[in-house]
Amino acid sequence: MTNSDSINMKKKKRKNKNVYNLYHLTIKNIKTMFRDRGQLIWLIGYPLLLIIIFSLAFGFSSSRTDYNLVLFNYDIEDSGISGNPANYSLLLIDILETNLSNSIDIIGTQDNFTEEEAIELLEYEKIDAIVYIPHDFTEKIYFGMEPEINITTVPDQIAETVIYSILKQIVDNIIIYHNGVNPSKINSEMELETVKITYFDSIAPGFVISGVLVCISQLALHFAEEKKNGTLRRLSTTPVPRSYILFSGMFSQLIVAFFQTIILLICLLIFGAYFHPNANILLLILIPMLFAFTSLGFGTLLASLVQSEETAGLLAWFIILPFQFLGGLFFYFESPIMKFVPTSYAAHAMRMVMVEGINTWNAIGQDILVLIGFGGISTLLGIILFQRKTAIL
Amino acid sequence: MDLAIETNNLKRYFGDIHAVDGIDLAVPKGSLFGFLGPNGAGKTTTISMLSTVLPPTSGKANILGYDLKKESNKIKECIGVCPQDIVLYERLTARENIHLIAQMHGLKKADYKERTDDLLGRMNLLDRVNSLVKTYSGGMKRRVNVLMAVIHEPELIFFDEPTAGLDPQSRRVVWDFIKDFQKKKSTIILTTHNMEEADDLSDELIIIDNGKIITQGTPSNLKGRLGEGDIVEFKVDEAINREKIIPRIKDLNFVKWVKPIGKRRILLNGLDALRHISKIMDAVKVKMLDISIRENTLEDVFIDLTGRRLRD
Repeated sequence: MTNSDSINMKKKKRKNKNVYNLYHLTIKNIKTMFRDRGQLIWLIGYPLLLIIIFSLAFGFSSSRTDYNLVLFNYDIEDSGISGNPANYSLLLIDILETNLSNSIDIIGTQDNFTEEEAIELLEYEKIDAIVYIPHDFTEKIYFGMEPEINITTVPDQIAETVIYSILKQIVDNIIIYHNGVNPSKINSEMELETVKITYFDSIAPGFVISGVLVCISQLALHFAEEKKNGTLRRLSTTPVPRSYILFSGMFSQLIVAFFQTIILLICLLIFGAYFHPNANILLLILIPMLFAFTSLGFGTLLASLVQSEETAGLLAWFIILPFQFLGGLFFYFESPIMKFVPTSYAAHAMRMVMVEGINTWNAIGQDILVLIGFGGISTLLGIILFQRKTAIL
Repeated sequence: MDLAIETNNLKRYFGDIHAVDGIDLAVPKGSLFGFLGPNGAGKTTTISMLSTVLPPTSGKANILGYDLKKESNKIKECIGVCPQDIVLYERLTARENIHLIAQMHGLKKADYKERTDDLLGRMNLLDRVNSLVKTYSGGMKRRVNVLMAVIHEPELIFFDEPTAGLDPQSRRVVWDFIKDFQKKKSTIILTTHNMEEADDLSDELIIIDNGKIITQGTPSNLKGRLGEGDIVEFKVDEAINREKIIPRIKDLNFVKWVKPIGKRRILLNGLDALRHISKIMDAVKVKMLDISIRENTLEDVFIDLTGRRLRD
């Protein structure tokens, strides 16, 4: 055996030993965590309390049944298609006015308002949306291309979701109709898809994210307790690397986050939150787990900086509260600052999957990558700081 | 002579505080080596450095043949540390606490399972072995604290005041336990400010004060330096009277040394001292409130060297 073979074998042996240490440290963390009733109650109790409060406040009373919109139809001119008897934009408006009059109220068109006036109405929330049908709408359907409709809505995710969903259903059905499918199918499908999404439904995915967000304080508290009791120092006299001590804390929190996610999703079902029929249950678990990883990255940063449980508990809320509110977990808003708040990505991905039933990489891929990026960078910084052995707060 | 620990001008400063100020040690393998000194003398800081927890400010140290700065991971594999404070996971049982340290040292379950129960039995803890540590008394916790340092049978064990706060009976159990470990060829470092503990257990010891070694030797050698004669300690009625009689006692040719202790106490070493002292007291009409006579202790050595008691 060469010298380098021997070194490689030693390295491999050390690595196996570290994995063995990591396993036992994680088991230890889980045992100590699950034997602390107060901590368990807090982990589930806090997000559950939010669910109860918001379901009581918004679960029943804020249900919207109809939306006002102004419609600009630029497709009404002669499309110039020879032998084409139908103008599909008129068909769309006809369906909206007759079949969906309970849900959609077209309060005006270009005959009544200019675009500037319509935007002003939108800004003062006199209407919920402005719909623009472009001049080539019929032409595109006729030639088998993808037609476009542009919608501008108030910053209300429910309105956006419902109006988008209704228009998409109608246009899809017009395309089907154009290709010779039985038109009677259109009406019944439209009725089924007119979902009454409440305010509570739209923010429900945020409660799962909010529950997992508590990982930040849990990890920081865990290591503050280890520092205060001297157990971290005691472990430092054994051969286990300090980074593995940190990883064990993260793993145990991830395991807790997994169970927390399952319990919270069940609670949401019990409280009647809306789950889209196409919602992918694996993604509903995976997204909170990815966000738990991101939160734990911030938790490691905090854990490396604090010495006492009191400081850890207080400082954690300086991260958790802005993350909750600026991430739009409890109410929807648009602001450039949201780009810097990881909760907004997690909440967006959860809403896409849970409320809108969109499970594609195009819809949530960017969110996932950003969460991994946030988590990776903060964990790396946390490990570097944690290796220093001395806390500064 | 094989050395377990060798240090050269080892220092640790915390800002302006010189916690350890240039310590040179040579601890033979297999010995039970004591660090005796008052609180704040630098004993724990020295142990923290030698057990790789705290990096030295300067100086060199070699532990079991490994360089302290460059090979700390190898050192960690060979040492066990019993910290001064009780350091346990309160929501684990005694058995789980001990197993954890064994696991961190890479021991297999078959190796540590029986050994743990054997050690718990020797410390009279088997009947509460499945209870969470948070339900234990202080004495029981301290015994578990000791066991966590030895489960992996390390070559070098640091006991930092292992019997602090224990009742005399439990203290004796821990002392016997430590002596047993020395018989297994482990090198043991014991810090204490209990002179009886240092005297009873140590093969050799250093007395440390203000971060410096002030003397070193076997307990009997150190006590022998004070010479033959009794140690007499007495208390006078008023502080001003003490100043009157100290010069008179110093003039007596059988008295080797006299130290004032506290406000009204006097400690002296001399042959047949008791008889002569009472005569002086009668002559100057100073009232003696209490008096004791005993053999030399390590505390007297410390007082002789520093003028202070270990617990001052």
